[in-house]
Amino acid sequence: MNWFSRAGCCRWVVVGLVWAVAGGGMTSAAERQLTDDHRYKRDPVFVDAGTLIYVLQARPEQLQLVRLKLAGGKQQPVHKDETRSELEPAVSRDGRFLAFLQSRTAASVGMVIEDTREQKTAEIPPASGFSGMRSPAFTPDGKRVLYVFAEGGRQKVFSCNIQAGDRKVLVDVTGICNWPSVSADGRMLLFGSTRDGNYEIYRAAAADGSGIRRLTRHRAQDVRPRFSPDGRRVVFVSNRDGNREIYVMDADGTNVKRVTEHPERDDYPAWHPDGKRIVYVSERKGRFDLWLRDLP
Amino acid sequence: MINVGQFRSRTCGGPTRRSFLKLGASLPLVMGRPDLSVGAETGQGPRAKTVLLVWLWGAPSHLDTFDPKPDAPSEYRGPFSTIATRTPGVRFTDLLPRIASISDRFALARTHVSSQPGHPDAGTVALTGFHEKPGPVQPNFGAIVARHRGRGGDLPPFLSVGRGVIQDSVRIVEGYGGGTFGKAWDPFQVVVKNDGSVDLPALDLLEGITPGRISDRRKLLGQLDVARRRLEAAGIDDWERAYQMAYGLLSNPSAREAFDVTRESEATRQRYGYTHFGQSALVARRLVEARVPYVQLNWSQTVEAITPNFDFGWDTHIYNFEMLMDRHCPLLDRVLPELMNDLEDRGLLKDTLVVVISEFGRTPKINPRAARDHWPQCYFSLWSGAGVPTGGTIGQSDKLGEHPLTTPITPLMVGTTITELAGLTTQDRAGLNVLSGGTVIDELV
Repeated sequence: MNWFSRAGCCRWVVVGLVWAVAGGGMTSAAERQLTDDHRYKRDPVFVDAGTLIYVLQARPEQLQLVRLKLAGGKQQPVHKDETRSELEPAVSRDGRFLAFLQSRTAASVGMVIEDTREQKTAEIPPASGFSGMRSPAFTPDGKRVLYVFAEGGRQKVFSCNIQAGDRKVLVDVTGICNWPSVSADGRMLLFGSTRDGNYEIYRAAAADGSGIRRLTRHRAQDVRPRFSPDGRRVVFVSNRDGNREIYVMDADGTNVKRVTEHPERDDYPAWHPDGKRIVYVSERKGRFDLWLRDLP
Repeated sequence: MINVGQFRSRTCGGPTRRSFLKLGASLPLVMGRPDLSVGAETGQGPRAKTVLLVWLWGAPSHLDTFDPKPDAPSEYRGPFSTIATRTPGVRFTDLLPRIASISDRFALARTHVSSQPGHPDAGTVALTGFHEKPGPVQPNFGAIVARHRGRGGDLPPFLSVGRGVIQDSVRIVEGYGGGTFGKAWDPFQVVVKNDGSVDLPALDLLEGITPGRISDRRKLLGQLDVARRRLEAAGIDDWERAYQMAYGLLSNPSAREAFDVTRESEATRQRYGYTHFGQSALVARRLVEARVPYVQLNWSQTVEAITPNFDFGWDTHIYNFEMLMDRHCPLLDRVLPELMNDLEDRGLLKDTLVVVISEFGRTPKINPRAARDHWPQCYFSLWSGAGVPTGGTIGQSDKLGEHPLTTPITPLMVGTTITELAGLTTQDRAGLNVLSGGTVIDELV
């Protein structure tokens, strides 16, 4: 089924109208289903208060970036003619720049930084052989992109400018680092790391990666941390209660609260620009959809 | 919904515009007949009436799944914690909590070795017991069981469920099918989509024929003549068998029902999950229930996890830990326990052998890209059903997971054990001229 055909678009308009009539598609006071195609998806991120981009498994061989308008539910591919897999999108705070990963050849993934206003792209191509970047994230001023890249068996946090130049190592510790996120004031860096054994969440100075401080301490995996738009809270994912669920905590690692509680998986949380809600992927009854909910 | 060749069987609609699949390696086949000359079963039935081989194509990391090494140095052990299982003293990584909860339902072998480091060659070795070269390519274990068992109904005796003939970026795995037995013993391909719809592409050779037309003999003969010419043009000389099998599926609604997951309850379909692998596993369970002698359930058609036009196999040269955590292990951890529980609940596990295996493992030492490469020196398998002793481990790997500490298990031993449990004696194998020199895994037989 082609969800981006005329019929597919009409279907989403109908979904949006149903929401409007039925109270915005709320299944509870705090939760709203944003998609109903049920296909595998991941990596949602807001472009603005009414638009988000996420990754859809469009074909068995392709992960595709999709833009979703909350009002009406209209969806369309970000790059409609692209046949390669694209994933892990990040959007600058002003919505002008889009960074994402793009598969190239066998196990070879580059990072693209797209200026959506000027229709220009810069990229960090993969190194020779099997190689790939991960987890791009913009600094709040939109001038630099953080990402992770592995070399010498260590996956490090790097940053580059918006032209994909001036590459610098920010965090280089034993193990695997991932999911960098910078606070709204640009001062603090949040990331996940296995430096102490399993995945935990850490923060450090965004300028140079110094002053690393551990925020979580659990035998389970604490992953995918993201600063709230005001930098005061952190949303993350953990399997500490048996399966993958979403949690929030204060930026200093205290006041941990569980947000989701389903027998299946809740994952890939991203903050709404209002800082009061998150979008995430929830697997329910064997199907994957995007959900939006208020935070406690 | 089933798409049988070019039409949908549930609606019996007329032909639609669909191009033929390329005939050749992907061409289906064929109905088998009992090969009485090579020792059909006698007396009591085999322990495994059906074999279900779950093929994790691309090769999962054994350290990050079923053989973790939490005390190994950080450059080996990986980022995942370990959890207890239902098997005393056995731990898995915390990526597999549901499988850990049913570990008493299977035996875990941790000392597999392969002689080949590349996917197609290792795939052939893993599925036939022998190297591709110098050839000829030996028959897949499924072809051996199928030929021994023959056809018991309108369903083919050897089916491959997934997305097509397994391959890497260069070529198919030569050991996917009949080998020295010929294409007549290749698996019948069943393609399942994430919504559970099924394509039986082999029946494209009968394009233009619908169940409705089968009742019209004159039209049918005309269409079959066209199909025959197609087969002959493609070099397929076993027209009679191909026709009989295809005709059987087309003319027998109960045979087609075996592929139709819409006959399952919504709750059952949800438990398996609406993914390709989940719905494929459900189709596989229905084929087990229909007593197909050998079903190979493929995780994917291609090996690489993150390559254009590849469907996310287990070949994680990059992103190993992320892919396992984000996608592969959650999917396996959902589907495999559901499959085993379903088989158990339906009373099928007692005489169905389930084997979960791949072509090799992955490097215990983390590579420079913070991932893992090919490692044929040590990997795992799971065995369940057909009376095999469960709730324990077979063999032990060394402290880094690099090599077996106990007797290595070879692909030839795997094939010998599978066929033995499926009712083939040493004499049967000799009569078929297969698996020469093979010995069984003693703990399983």
